[in-house]
Amino acid sequence: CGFQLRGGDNLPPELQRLALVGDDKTQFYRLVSARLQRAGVQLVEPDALTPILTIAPLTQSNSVASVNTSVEALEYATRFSTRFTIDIPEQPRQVFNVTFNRSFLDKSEQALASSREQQQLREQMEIEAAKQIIRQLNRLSF
Amino acid sequence: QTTASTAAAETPLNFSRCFSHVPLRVDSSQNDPNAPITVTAEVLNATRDGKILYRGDVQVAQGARQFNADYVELEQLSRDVLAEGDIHYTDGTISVDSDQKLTGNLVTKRTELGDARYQLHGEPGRGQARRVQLSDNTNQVDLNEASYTTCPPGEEAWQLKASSVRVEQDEVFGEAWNAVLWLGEVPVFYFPYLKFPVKDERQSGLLYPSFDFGSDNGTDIRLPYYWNIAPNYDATLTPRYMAKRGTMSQLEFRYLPEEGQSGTLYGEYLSSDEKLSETEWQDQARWLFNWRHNARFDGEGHWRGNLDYTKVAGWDVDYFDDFSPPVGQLVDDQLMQSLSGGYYDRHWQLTTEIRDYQILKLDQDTQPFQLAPSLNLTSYRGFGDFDLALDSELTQFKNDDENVYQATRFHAEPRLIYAVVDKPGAKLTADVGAYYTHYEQDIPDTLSDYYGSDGLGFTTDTLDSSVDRLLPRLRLNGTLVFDREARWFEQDFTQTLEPQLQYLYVPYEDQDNIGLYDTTDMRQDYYSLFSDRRYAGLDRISDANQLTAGFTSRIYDDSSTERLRLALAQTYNFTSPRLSLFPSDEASDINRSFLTFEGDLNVDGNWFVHTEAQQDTRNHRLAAGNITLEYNNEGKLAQLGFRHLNQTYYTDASLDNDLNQLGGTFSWPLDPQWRLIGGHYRDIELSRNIDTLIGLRYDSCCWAVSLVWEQSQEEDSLLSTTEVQQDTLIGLRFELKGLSSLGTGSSEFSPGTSLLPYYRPFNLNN
Amino acid sequence: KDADFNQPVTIDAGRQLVELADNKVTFSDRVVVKQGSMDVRADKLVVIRSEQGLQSMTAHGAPATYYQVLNNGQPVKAEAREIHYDMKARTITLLKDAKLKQNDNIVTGYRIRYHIDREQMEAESQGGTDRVTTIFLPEQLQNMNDKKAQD
Repeated sequence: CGFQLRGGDNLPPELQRLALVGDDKTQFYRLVSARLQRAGVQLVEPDALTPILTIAPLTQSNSVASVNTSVEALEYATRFSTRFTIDIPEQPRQVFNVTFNRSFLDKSEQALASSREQQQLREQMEIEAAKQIIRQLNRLSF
Repeated sequence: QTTASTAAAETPLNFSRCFSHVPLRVDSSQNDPNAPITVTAEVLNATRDGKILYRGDVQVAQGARQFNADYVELEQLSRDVLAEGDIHYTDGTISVDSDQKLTGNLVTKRTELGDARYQLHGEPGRGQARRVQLSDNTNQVDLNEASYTTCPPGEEAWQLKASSVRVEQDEVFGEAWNAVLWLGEVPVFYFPYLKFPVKDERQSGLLYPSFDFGSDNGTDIRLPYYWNIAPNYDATLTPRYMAKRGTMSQLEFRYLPEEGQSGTLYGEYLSSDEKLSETEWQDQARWLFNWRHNARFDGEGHWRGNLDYTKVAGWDVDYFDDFSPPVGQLVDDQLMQSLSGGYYDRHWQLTTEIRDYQILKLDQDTQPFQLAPSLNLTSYRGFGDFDLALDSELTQFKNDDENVYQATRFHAEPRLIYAVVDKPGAKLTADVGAYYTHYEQDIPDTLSDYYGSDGLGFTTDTLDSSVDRLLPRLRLNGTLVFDREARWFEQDFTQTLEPQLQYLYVPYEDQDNIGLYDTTDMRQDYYSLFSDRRYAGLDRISDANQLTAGFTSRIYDDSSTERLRLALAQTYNFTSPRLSLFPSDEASDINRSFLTFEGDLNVDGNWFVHTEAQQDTRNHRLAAGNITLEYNNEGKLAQLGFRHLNQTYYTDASLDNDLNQLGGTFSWPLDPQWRLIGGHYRDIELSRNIDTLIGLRYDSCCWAVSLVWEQSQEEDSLLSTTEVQQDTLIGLRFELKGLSSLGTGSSEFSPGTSLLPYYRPFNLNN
Repeated sequence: KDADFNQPVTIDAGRQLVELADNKVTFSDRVVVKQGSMDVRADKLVVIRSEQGLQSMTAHGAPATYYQVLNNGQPVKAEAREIHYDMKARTITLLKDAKLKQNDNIVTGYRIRYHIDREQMEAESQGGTDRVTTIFLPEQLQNMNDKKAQD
């Protein structure tokens, strides 16, 4: 029915040499740069000739999704989102949004464990966001 | 100019033309200081002493600044200028009309007009003033005995009349000294000093005057006094009068002492709450303290620090419900009190944190564990084909309840991730690692009920004072990506099929001799099934000998926007995990996880669908599921959602029966000036309304009024026993656009209800 | 400059027409008048004489131009379709498309009258069209002020 294995390289030729710009002392930056290196990209300092990939830390926002019998929060929906931009010399900037929704249950009895759960959700989503950046760059055509 | 405004007075201005009278703002930075000065007139006389007299429709222009008058005297040398008769001045940021006199200097740009009418450019602010002073390029405007409003000419619904008003173009705020607010012809309020927004960017976090009629607090008036102490220190003192409770004072102090250091100190204090007069807390003060600080100690951002501390009176569990303080959202009824910091580098970071919690629940079974402190070393480095990572931490857990175990835990988790194949169409990664953990637990003589035999099932003799745990982990993850071009409804799409397979192996080790400090179970969804840990936290590392199969399909349109995403996953346990979270939790002999399904659809950019389901395939029962439908198009919004939780799978959430929650919310413009919002959430299982809200808002050019009626279930644990009753809140709100929002509480006029806010659950990227 | 006025006046032109009865001499065809630092050029020049000497000079041109260096050493340049120089009243009147340029201050208008002794100038438009315009160029505003400051 027309499906074939996707071919080609991980990233279009124009992006084989790339500058990654962002808060370079955070885990998200480390994950994205590791993924880029794994996809065969040569990371260089930003200059006027090389494309620039700008990333920003994941923002998280919680909302009560449902309440229990005594009208206390039962489920929280937590939304992780970030935005990254690609600047190719002489081309308009392209902006991409990345959004993931997860959920966790209210645990007012185990405050520390609940914070740890949210932290773990965040760590998982940072890995997924790094994958999504590569997946999106792969689809770029010039 | 004046004739136009009187004509508009008869026919009320069409809403769309609210700001037709506001001239565009010319960016004053282009005003080149030595642009030539051009003066045109009917007649000119130049005298010996260098003074030139112009008469007859005189026009003086210098770059974007220019003014007209009947008569102008220009002193050639000093550039002093005097103008009289039908003066119209503009400099691209403000226009001033006066039929009295203009004096000024063309070099220093200081200009003064008498008995003038002024209109800001790019902002609706305008009014009259006995004296208008414009000073140099800071385009600061000083007005004496002035009026200020944002209403169009002839429709002055409100005005601020003050002895002096100062507006600075680049600042968001204007200031007024001994000002009186007039509604129509009626003086309503006196402010000795008032700072009001000139630009309409709402400063987040800044408090605005608000004026409510709510059934909860009665008349609820907040009048913030903004005090600009120094260039990087400012404060807002806000008395808040609540008819049914008393007068509370709120103080917010913002500071930015130097580059990289910024923070906010916030406090609220109510000496006594009349509403609690018959309770045991009759003459107790209700207060809140919050301190947030963010620090970067060096230029490169190596040394960083962060403080986030919130505290209310110990007994005051309803503080957030009663006063909704602007200090972020309350999750899990807990106030976090955390001080953290560390050294951050390119490939690793060493951080430490002290953290405690205040739990806002009356009858708590247990006290929260504290990080006293924790020390974390995290590093991650990619070497192309493989990545090396280390997550290690040394944590001391303390607990105020002396019948609970405490511990010092050291944990180290090195891991190697090797990319066997890394092609766009096929990826195979091997992830090898180990968990080493050492505990020094000090175990009390008797355990509290929550942790003891009839609680989680710990006993003082099964817990060991010193424990070592070493567990290796092997994970193999492979994905294939197939795609094809397709053409539906005359549009080109790309559809992908992405099967994913993961094998995870972790041996079993009995861990009932370790207490539960920061560990809990997580919800099963697509991502958690592919993660290598079933539990959050480090006190339980579940054994695993499982295969997880997943399948994702996406459809991208021709602008590579994700229009559809389907994801299906389930885990097969070759040997079902023997580890359970706590001793009294018997290990389940299930050999398959839930079948998790997620679906997101963007039909046409206006209609969106999201659905999730976790199916217990062994008993063919839906463990949890939800579906949300939304229409979202240029200000028209409607969302309908249903959520289901099957009680048997969620024993620790205080669910007496299944959750079947159906509800929706909308925000709909009836016409450019009328907007209707509503929300209704119902618990079908208990056939009880959770929260119902209906609100109507009328927008005029410079003011708005909104009425919101909300009926919600409320559990007021301070006042009544814990049974739940209906509570009705009516909020009337006046908003003087550009001066304040005199209105209902903190919530903007937006969809959603107080218990269940509006959010977008769609997982579509780009 | 004042010194100009006791300098000889030289006029050269392509053709000269003398009308003794009216004491009027008309020069035409590229007329150039010089007196010290003064320099007037026009297509036609009508000079009226009297017993006491030169009465007035009226230059016509498209435009006629006038140049002279004033006492303060600053040159003044003017042009108009008609430049009328009244020696007795010591005034210069520029008529129609008049333009006066003095240390880079430019004044334009329908009629500009300049009283040499009183250093006073008047300019008028002709009812709405070609209104009087003055342009002050800031650069030499500074050096003019500095120069003034030195005096």
